[in-house]
Amino acid sequence: MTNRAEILQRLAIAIGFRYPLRWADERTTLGDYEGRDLTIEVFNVPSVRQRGFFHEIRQYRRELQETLGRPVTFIFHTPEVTKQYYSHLFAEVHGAEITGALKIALEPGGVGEKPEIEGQLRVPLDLAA
Amino acid sequence: MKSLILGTNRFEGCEHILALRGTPFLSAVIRGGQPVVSLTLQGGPTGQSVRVQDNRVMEGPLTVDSAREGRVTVRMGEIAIVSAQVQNENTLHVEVDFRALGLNIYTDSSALHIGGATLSGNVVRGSRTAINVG
Repeated sequence: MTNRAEILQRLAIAIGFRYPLRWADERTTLGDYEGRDLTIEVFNVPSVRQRGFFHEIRQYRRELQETLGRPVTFIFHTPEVTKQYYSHLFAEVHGAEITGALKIALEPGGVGEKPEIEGQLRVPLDLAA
Repeated sequence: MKSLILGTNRFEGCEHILALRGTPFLSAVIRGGQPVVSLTLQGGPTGQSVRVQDNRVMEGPLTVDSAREGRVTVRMGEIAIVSAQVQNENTLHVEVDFRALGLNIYTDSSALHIGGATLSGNVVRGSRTAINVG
């Protein structure tokens, strides 16, 4: 299986959706390096949990390497770094009054696009001020 | 107006709380003073299909703690995937955790989490389906 979305989905299920995942691209990484096209970013993962992450995915990681013919590179971002530099990847809607429906893309790795509001959105002035 | 609280968000007059790619997935209402939950997932990300119709398991490895004292819980093994509690005659409080079904949708005490999105303190009204995922 080499479908990139399915790879993220299987990894996300293996770790119980605890940490959002996405394939690295120009939105988060600069420059070039060997394996850039097979790099997965892992967000909100404390430093002490990084080894545990590899333990949880070890079976699938091996299978993945055999299928792809080379290893996947993982880049970890701690919760502090995720909040400071990558919050643009995570949609948040707080305190809004929405007349209509919300439409949210469910990305396999848990990092999605902004929710789309099919209707009218009203944000209370005290939140907007 | 009947309302439902999910992860600190209030949904007013919505027939379905969640839909997956346009197909109703979760609904919960108060009937006879008790919560009534319906849930449908056909061929989810883990290949699992489940269906609960009005608190009765129709398909899948689920159990339902029978509605009493204003609460009903749908479980998959030990995991409560839906828990609904009547707050008052017009308000139902619902908690969900669909991660066991391969869907990154869950609530905690502060928000509703869908994929990477966090929704809290919002009011959604005027829609048959409140949130369409996918």
